[in-house]
Amino acid sequence: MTAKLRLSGISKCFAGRDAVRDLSLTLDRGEFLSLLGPSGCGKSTTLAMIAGFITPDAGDILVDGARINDLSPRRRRVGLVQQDYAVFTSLTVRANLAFGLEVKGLGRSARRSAVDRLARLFDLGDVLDRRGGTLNMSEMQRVALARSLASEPELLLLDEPMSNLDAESRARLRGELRQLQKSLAQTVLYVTHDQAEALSMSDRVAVMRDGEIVQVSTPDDIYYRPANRFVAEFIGDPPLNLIPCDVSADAARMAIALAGGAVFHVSAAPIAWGRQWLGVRPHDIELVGEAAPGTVPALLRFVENFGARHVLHAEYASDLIRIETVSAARSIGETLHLRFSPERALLIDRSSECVVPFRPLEAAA
Amino acid sequence: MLEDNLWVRFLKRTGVGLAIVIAFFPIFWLVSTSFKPIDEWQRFPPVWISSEPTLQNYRIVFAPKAAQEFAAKQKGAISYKVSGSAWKAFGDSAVIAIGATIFSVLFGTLAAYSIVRFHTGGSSYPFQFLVVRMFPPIAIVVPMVVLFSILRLSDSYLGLILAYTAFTLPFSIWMIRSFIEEVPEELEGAALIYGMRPLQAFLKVTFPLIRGGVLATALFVFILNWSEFLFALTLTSGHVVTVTLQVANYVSASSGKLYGVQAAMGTISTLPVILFGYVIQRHLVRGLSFGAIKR
Repeated sequence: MTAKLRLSGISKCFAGRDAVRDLSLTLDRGEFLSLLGPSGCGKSTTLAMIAGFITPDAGDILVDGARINDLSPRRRRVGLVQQDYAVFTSLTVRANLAFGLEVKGLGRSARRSAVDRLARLFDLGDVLDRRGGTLNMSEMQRVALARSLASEPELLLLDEPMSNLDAESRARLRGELRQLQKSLAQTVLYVTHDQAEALSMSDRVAVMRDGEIVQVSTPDDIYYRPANRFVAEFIGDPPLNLIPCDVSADAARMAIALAGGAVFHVSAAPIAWGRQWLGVRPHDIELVGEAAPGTVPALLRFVENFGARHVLHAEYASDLIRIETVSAARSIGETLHLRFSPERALLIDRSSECVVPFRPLEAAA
Repeated sequence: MLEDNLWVRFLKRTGVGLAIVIAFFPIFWLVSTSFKPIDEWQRFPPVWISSEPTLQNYRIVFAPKAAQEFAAKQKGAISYKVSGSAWKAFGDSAVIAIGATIFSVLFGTLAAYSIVRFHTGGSSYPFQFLVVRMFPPIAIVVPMVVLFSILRLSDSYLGLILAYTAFTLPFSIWMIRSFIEEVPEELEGAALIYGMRPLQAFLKVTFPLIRGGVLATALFVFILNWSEFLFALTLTSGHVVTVTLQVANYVSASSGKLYGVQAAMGTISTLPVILFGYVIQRHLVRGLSFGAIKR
């Protein structure tokens, strides 16, 4: 029976360094939540505390309201898939799948039917009698996943389960894993540093940095309404452009001025006057044919070709910015005319690095 | 992959050949001497392989009485006095070396596991173990003799077993530690998650993977124990006689050291080590290459 997980103010300190600091998070029954962050941000430590491999210094881990801090791993009803998969190499696939059931003392026929069901679900019928050590990465991954579901866990913990797979298997598995999770209504906590995995599969994403959660929200919110500069820059491929801008104000409205003469008027926003940042996604920059009011010039420096789309690196305000666009023939050194639209731009406070909400009034020069 | 030219290949072969000759010469000399009659033991120029090989040296080792009777019928027989019995020496050495090896590997495995998985004692702990090995053994022996006499452990099996265990434990810990480090922690994690207790996870998941390494360590420690002389000499006084002590027992009043007999005893005493190595050979290869673990 799948369960609800609540982390309440958990902390863990290793050798004087906070690995996880006062972290609180709730996963609803059947929710797929990703812990996303750069390596060393404490996401794997958090997972290890939920699995029971390490004990939090402070805070509570609650499954369906019951505190499980002091339970040994085998008493917690969690399934776990790790980066290395930890498939028992000297056991057959069948024995790997039945491992947990056997330790729990399930009868032979019950084990057999459970293994057969999992083998069908994960397409492992052909390799059931092979030893774990002879499998390839993708097969190991399926064995590890099937094994984790064998004992019908309340909670499924996945720790970078795709990092050893090639790009193609990864893309295929993202869809399959999400479908499976939905059909089982399985509560999943997914740890990754890959934003594509987090955004594409999750109901909600928790972005972590330095042992703390920076933002928890839906993938759309994380992408379009990041809480601060870190989230804004961490999410998005190619990454966000941070463009210096000058904020000034008169009675009822503010003006955001960019180098090259573009100015936006926006409703009053809680930000100081002066030099701030405007965050613009590469695909939100419009290329126009020739100079016009509100456009700014930029010098094309180089082009990354991704087939259907190009990422242009252009010099603007003595900095390189990225523009994502459909592919077309362009020559290095030509002048591009860029139009920024304020609708999707992010205004970022330079001192606090917070994203400040604002409402565009008009896009006039 | 670079291809060697003829000259480099020649040098390599010569080097390997030389190393083999240097390594095996003492063994050859030992075995050769064990079959020589008395007048060839110290002859110059040396007798490489005796033209009249004899089993007399082996007779003296295994059946001193019968050997004496046999010698009485021969002309030019030596007079010798053999104290102690080779059979007893092998028995004593077996008890002590096997006992101490089991203790050393058992404690070594537990300590190494604790150091690797739980960082017991901090990062410098494994190095502290080696400190004991940095003293010359003779410096440790003197206080040990005093201590053993106070504890009434002198000249006892338990005493030598404990002394050997203490002396080889650092090796056991260091060797087994490196084997445990090769086993991914995730495997134990999976075993814990799917229902095992920590000790069960160690015995059923981790131990099978390091078994070859543990056996290799056991062989190494057994060789150290089997061939130890200094502790055996200083911590015993006649009741317990190890193989190495028995070798020193073969002296003659008239002819000095009985080199041929000592060589015979030495040759026989290498057999258990070779046998042990042969029995665990399959595990040695697997243990040292770690073919069982795929990362």
